[in-house]
Amino acid sequence: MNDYLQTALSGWAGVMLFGSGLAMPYLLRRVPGRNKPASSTPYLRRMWPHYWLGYLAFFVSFAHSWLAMRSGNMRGINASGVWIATVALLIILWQIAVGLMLRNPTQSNRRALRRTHFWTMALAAALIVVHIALNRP
Amino acid sequence: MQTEKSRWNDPSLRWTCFLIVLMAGTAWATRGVLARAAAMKTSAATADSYYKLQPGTTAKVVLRLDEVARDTLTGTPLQRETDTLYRLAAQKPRQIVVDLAAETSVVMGKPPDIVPGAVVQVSGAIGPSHRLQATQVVILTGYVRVSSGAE
Repeated sequence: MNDYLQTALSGWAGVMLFGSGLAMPYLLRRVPGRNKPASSTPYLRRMWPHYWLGYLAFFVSFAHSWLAMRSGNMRGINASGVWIATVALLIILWQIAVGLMLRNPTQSNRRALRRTHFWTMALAAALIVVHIALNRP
Repeated sequence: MQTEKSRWNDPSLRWTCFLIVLMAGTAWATRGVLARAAAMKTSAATADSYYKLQPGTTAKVVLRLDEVARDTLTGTPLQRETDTLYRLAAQKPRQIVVDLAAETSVVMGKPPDIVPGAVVQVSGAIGPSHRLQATQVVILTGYVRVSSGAE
């Protein structure tokens, strides 16, 4: 498998993991009158796929950046796109930190943290879209 | 209205929609990546073999561009080592002149990427005076490395 395939596939895998992680809270939330008693597990426990998809998205994105840069030949690559991707990666790391705080059931600042978590996700998604637009061959 | 809303609240419908979108996205991305990887796969002619080809035959060459005029490119042919590594011969080979046309497609990049120093793969038919009439230019800059012949 050549460098291009490794970089491109890892990048798209990161996008799919990020998108799947993003969808989980909406897919796993309880719908009034729909959930059977068997699925009455607390919401934070049911959210485990969201947590793991988030961690995986970060590690796959990190691998993607490492694969892209290890050749050392960045000539011809849009530098702004690379910087935007770097910021997006750091934002995903920050997102994980906020997510870890939200996992704590006794978290008192839940409302503000959830809002931060949502808007951080929106910012990361926007940066990823711009990175794809600028750096996609 | 209420029925539509309650139908959307059905978890199995939401999961089905999610999986369909995920599979469609994965298929679309994979197809795009594989198509581009196929376009990058080179079986390029070397400088010597290029000038032995008869006018009218089609050829594919990988060049490091030396000059870029409006519709004419002049480049030094590179020798393929691996998919991502090309070598510049120790003795500078004869340059190849490429004519671009309005129909010439640019893949893996945009026309502004065609600049001196860029690495491109050009496909087309060999025209008069062994000028290559390009039908497709694949921008390889950033995806391949070029080593000099001394390395």
